[in-house]
Order: sequence, then structure tokens, then C-alpha cells
Amino acid sequence: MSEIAVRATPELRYRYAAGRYASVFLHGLRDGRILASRCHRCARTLVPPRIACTGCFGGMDEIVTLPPRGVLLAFTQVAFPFLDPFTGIPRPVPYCYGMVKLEGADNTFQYFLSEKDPGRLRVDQTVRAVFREERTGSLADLLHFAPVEG
Amino acid sequence: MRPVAIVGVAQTRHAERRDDVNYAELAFEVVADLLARTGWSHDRIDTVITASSDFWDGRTISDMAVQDAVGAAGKSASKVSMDGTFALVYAAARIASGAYRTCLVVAHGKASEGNPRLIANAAFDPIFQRPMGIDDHTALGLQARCFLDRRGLAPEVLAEVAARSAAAAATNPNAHRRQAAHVLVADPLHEDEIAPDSDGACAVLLADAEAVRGEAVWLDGFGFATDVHGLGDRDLGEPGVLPQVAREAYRSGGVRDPDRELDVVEVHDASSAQTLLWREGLGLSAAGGPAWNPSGGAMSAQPGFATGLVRVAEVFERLARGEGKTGLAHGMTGFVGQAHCAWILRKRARA
Amino acid sequence: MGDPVAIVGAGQTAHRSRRLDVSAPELIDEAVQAALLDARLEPDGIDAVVIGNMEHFEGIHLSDLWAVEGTGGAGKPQLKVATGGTTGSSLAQAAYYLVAGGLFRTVMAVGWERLSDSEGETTTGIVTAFDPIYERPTLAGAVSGLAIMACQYQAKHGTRAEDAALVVVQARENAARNSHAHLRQPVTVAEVLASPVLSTPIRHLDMCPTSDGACAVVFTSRPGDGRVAWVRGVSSRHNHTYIGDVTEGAVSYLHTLRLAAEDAYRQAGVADPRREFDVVEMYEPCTWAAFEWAEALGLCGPGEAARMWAEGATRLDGEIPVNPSGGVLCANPIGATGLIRVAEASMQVRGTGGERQVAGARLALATGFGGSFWSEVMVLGAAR
Repeated sequence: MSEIAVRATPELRYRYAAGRYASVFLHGLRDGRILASRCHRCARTLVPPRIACTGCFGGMDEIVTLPPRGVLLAFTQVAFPFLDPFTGIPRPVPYCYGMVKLEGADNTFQYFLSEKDPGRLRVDQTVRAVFREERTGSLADLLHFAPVEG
Repeated sequence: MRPVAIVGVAQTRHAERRDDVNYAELAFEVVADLLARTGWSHDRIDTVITASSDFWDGRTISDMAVQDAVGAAGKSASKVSMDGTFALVYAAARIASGAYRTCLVVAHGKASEGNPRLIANAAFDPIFQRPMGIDDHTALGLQARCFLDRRGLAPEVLAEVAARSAAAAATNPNAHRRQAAHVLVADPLHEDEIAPDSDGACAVLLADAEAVRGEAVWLDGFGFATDVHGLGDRDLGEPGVLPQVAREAYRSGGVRDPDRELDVVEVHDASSAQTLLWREGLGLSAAGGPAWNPSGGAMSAQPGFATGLVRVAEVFERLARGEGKTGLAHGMTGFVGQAHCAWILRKRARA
Repeated sequence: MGDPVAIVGAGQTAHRSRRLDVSAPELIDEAVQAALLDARLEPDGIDAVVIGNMEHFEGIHLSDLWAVEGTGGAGKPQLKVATGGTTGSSLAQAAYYLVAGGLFRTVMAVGWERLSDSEGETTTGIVTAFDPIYERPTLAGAVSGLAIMACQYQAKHGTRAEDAALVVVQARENAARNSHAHLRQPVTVAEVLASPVLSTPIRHLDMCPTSDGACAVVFTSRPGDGRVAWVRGVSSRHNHTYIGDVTEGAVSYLHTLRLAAEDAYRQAGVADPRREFDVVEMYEPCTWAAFEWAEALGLCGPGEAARMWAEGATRLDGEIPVNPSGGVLCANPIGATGLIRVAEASMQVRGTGGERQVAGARLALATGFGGSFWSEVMVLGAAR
């Protein structure tokens, strides 16, 4: 007896509320700034901003602007195709992204890198944020982080 | 089970949409509120159990979104993918094991971020049931029709029950304010006879006997069970596994005569038919007995997996205020009551 | 403390890339029946069930309720615990606490996954575990998250791709002795290095597969006669929401695993894990991870893990055998994977490991991994 398989494609759409802190951050990007939240109790500074301090559970009420510069702590070139849950089509590859420790932040920020060749990237490289000319208040206002020569 | 007490509870004002907050902010709201009410600092909390639904949140590992917001960093935490009343079982077990002295339980649900009907359809068997387009509302309709038929009741009975729920909900400051119309949604159920889709969260703080002085509200008994899945494999006109669950809750909670001994009962009634059917399932007589869904039950707000935990919170608050000594809080997971959970709460001194 | 808890039986399916011969309840039943047989119990000897699964991969909401007939849970108390990759180990923990707390005498933990149901879109599902605004645009599932970690480890210790490749070479050798494993063919270092790059530095053969499979483990406070595995230590750390928060930016060792292990070791009275454990079943989703996990577990010092593997210390007949089952690199039905580590560790302690038995094993370690670098640890021993 042959095996039967039944195809089903549940199409589920979601409308995620960005929330208070993401809204602040995205408005900051629109203005060409990278914002972080700082804990009133332990002064931990985290980007993106969020409501609860990951260290001491204090409130992260203070919003600060970080310099658009940091150190690349890790990176990878994604080379395999996979279906992007956002678009429903395969995400274009290859691309590089990394974890950037922005000046003044106590954590890292995960974002795209300008360089597509991982051979030209290095852990501990200095990188700077590059914004798009036209900005709308979305994460894509940030184009990528680019290695700073020298 | 070794003694476990509820130290405090908090819930959000449930709403049709909380677009101002993401999940972390929603959970933090209720946890911060709970800590403020109890005067506890977050480092007194040894462990955390959350309850959330991946499908509702549109996020695989939905617990990940709230880990920091519930103060789980540096602590052992886990999650139950069922209604908060079931998460309470795991939380109570962690304390009863002696490994942890205190445990925070946080449940959240935002109906507004997805489409609850499509999500519900995805819970039905993909081969035999889903293709009919069945969802939670149509399943409730099937159940209501079976129930009315079995008991020989007219559909107008449901409208009366719904009106009583609405009147109670009007006194509930946390109720999801809505204008529900008397229009047929899933025959024989009208919109105002079906619980709303809400955004909300609830938090409950548990502790062992050492943390408690004087009188407290204790988790004295519980029962839970899961029925078979297929709608056709169950008798929708009957309360399913609820009588068995109730019997176990009463037995473990030392309740022999629920009508007389229970002062307050809060159930998750997803429809006005369930308001009646679950009452039967709990072995309560049709009239008299304990205060029944004084909050308005799920008809006042239905924030996903937080709904049953809100029932626990409502019973706790009434007992804590002195409005009775013994209460029952009920929660469900799955449609038309596939899985039920019932807790017996009792206000008393340490045993 | 609570009631002492022992594992008295474990069962698992044949894990394969596609189990089209069974429905999910049938797949689960295969593992459950094997566990009951091993535990010498009838179904009514199980008081409650804890089940776990990542329902997005099956596209079935409330998958536990749908699959209830496979677990034998219909009419019984059944809880669903699902925490992503750590699901399997979270199940073991939940079952343990339910028994230790005196809520039930005998609880069966059941983990299952049919990744073939999502037709190869596992990465797609995993991407949705992460923040929709900040992380999904860049993240390529578990693969790139692990690649980021491997990049840091490599930069810190100068570990080469061929060093990491030894982990899967050895895993496949072990899996050849495990009929349940999905990938059992031997591989060579050259083959690993020749396999396509998924996300630098992780290549295809460095990465675990996606499998269909199920596992069931029976926990009880009333073991009969016969050898059992006592739960001696249990811990977890589910720190953080964002990957960027992990260890303040440094992921060259797994911080949560270190913390969870220290807690579990303390409970179990283990002071020198390298010498005291007879076997380790670790949840290594890729070759590089094995090195990070070994260091976080205190089996060796920072940067020394590659040498452990190179010198054969981790082989079945070595000083500290790692993953005699073949590990996650050889079978990965995600909802079950962490539970399989517990099952395999329990088999070692109970002496039922067959061809993959570590001689005289009395103390075993099982770990779980998932989420934004979350960890879980369970210590099992022949003595209570």
C-alpha cells in the first residue's frame, strides 16, 4: 500500500506591535541616530532599547544616543538559500552580518555588514554605521556597518 | 503535594488591542505590578514558568520574547505551552520538589497580532477536520447545538446566560470593554454569547510555607486531564473530562460537597453554552451554591493562555479580601474543552 | 529536598529524514511502546505525560492535543512543555519535577518532531523564534547563530576547520553502532571540508541534520528491582531574548551552560567533571559547538577542546566518552533531541547501551541547547 501525504499550507499573517521601546528606537533611526536604553539602577546600556534590564531587572527609562561606531566581535557570511518567513521567497544570498559592540553599549547589535567577502572581515575590526539617505523609521534606515580602514 | 501558597497576583486591563506594547512590555507590565503589590524584589524569585502560544505570538519559542521581561535571566526557567492553569501545575511542582522556594508564573496572549480563527483552524486535524474550515467559533457552535438539544433547552437560554455574564463583567475593572452584537456567528451562538478575543497578561507568585506568615491563600488541590482530540470522538453535549478533573481537584483539595463548601468559582467559559455545561461538569447544582464567575468569566476577557490564570487571580483576590474561604479556578486548553484544569484555593493558616 | 527520582525506561524511534510510513501519533506510539517495554510497565502504570514539540514545524497548532492518542495521554493528565531546541531536555526536567514534587509517582516524558512535515523549511521556522524587528532580517536560523559563535571561538583560539571536522567524524563512527541514529555513514575530514559552506565557518557536514523521530523516557519515585538511573542534578538557564545580549557580546564559550552545569554539579556533588563523569551526551548542534560546550562544562580548559578530540579522549574507549549515540550531529528530531540525550545517558548508567555502552558507566551527563543560547543540564547516576 503506498504512503499518502496530504499537503496543507496554512497562511498565517501577523501584525507585530513594535511596542514602546522599539518605536523610540525606530524613530531614532529615522533621525539618523542609534539609541540605547540605560538602566537606572546598574547603568547597563543596551541596544536596542528595551523595558527590562537584563542584568538587574531595573527599569531602562533613560534613552541615550550611541556613537555610530563600534567593534565587530563576530561575523558570518550566510551562503545557503532558505525561505524567508517575512517575504515568503528565498532570501538572496550570500550576505554578511555580524555582532557589533557599539561604543558605550554593554551588549552587541546584530546587523548587516557592507562587506560580502568574509575574508576581508576580522574580529575586533572597527566598524561604522552607514545610514540610508531616505529614512522612514524602519530598521532598514540603517544600511549596514562598514569596516573603517586603518 | 507539599504546601504551596499564592503570595500575590496581577493582571492587565484586557483589551481588544494593546498596540502600544510588544510581548516583553506586556509581560513586564504585569510582573512589575505584581512586585509592586507584594513588595517583593525580583531576586526573591527563584524560578519562572511562563505560558504562551507560539502560533498566537507568531513566534516559534514564544517564551524567548519575554525571558528578560519576566526576570528569568540567571534563573532556571521553563514554559508550558498551555493555559496558565496548567503552567501553575509545573510551577507548584518546582516548589513542592524543594528545589525552589518561590516561583513566578506569567501567562500572556495577544489575539490582535494574528488571526485567531485561522490559528484555531490550524489546530484541527489536517486530514480529516481542517478542510471543513472549522475554527474555534464553529466548534463552539457545534457544542452549543448538541448541548441545547441534549438538555431540551431553547437557544434563548444562552442569551440570558450571556446577559448575566455581561452584567458581572460590567463590575470588573479589568474586563475587555466591547460592544458585542446579538448577531449569529456560529449557529446557535451569537457574538455576545461567545467570549471575546483579547490582549492581556497575568502573573501569579507562588511560595513555599516558609515564606508565608499567618493566613494565606493556598493551592490545596488540583486536577487536570486531556480528552481525545477528534470532535467526532467526543460527545460535545457532555462536559468531557471535566467531571474527572473536578473529582480529582475535590479529592486532593478536601472538598466533599462543592455546592456548600465552595464560596467562589471562576471558569473559562468560551461560550454561554460552556457557562452552563462547565457548571454541570463541576458537579454544581443549577442554582445556589458558590458565587459563579463574579468577574464575568471568559466572557469578560479571553487573552489566550492567560485566561485560566486570570481565573486563579480572580479567585485569589476574592479570598484574600475575605469574600469566602474556598474557591475553584478553572482553565482549558484546546477547543470545546479538550483539556481541563481545576485548582482548589483555600484561605487558611499554615497547616 | 523532594522525592528521589529515577529513570526506569527509555524508548526511541528509528530517526530518519522522512518517516512517511507513520502519522505523528503512530511515530510517538513507536517510542512510547519501546519505553513502556523497557520500563516493564503497562500504560496504566503511567500517571501523567509531559509532551513537547515545536508545533510550527508540523504546522499544527496545539500539536500535543492532536497527538494525544499516540502518547497514551487521553484521559490522563498531560502537560505540554516546549522551549525550542531545549524542548527535549525541558521535558525531562518537567517530568522530574512533577515526580520529585510528589504530584505524580510515574511520569513519562515524550518528545517528537516531524521536520519533514515542513518540507525542508526548518530554517524558516527557526528564524521566527527571533525578534521580528531586530533579528529576523539578518538571522539565518540556527545555522548562522552557531556560525557567529564559531567565528568568535575560531578567532580566539585559532581552531581550524579540520579540528572541528573531527567531531563529526567521530560522531558518525559512534552512530554506526546506534540503529536509531539518522546519519550513520562514516565521513572523513576531507569530505567535511569539501562540503558546501552554509554560513562561514560552518559547512554542511559540520551541521546537524533535521530528522523525524520521537523519544520517551519514564521517570518514577517508585522504581522496582533492576538497574535505574537516579536524577542527581537538574538545572537550566534560559537567559536572554536577543542574541546580542549573550554574555555581553562574547559567545566563545557558552555562558548559560557553564552556569547550569555548576548548579547541577553542586546538586550532584561533582567537583571534577572530567574525572568523575563516565560519559557525556551533549547537545551539539554543530561540530564547533562541541568544543565550546566541552569547555563550558569544565571538561577541559579554554581552547583545549580540539586537543581532547584529536587525542581520542572523547572516543567510546577514551577517558571521557562524548556522544556514544552519535549525538545531535547524527539525529535531530528537534522536539525529541534533548530528551534523546537524557535517554542515552540513562541507558549508559543502566547498562543497556548495547554496542555503544561505555564499560562500567555509573555517572552520566546530559545537556540541552536551544533558543538564544539557552542551556539545560541533567546528571544521572547509578547510585541515588
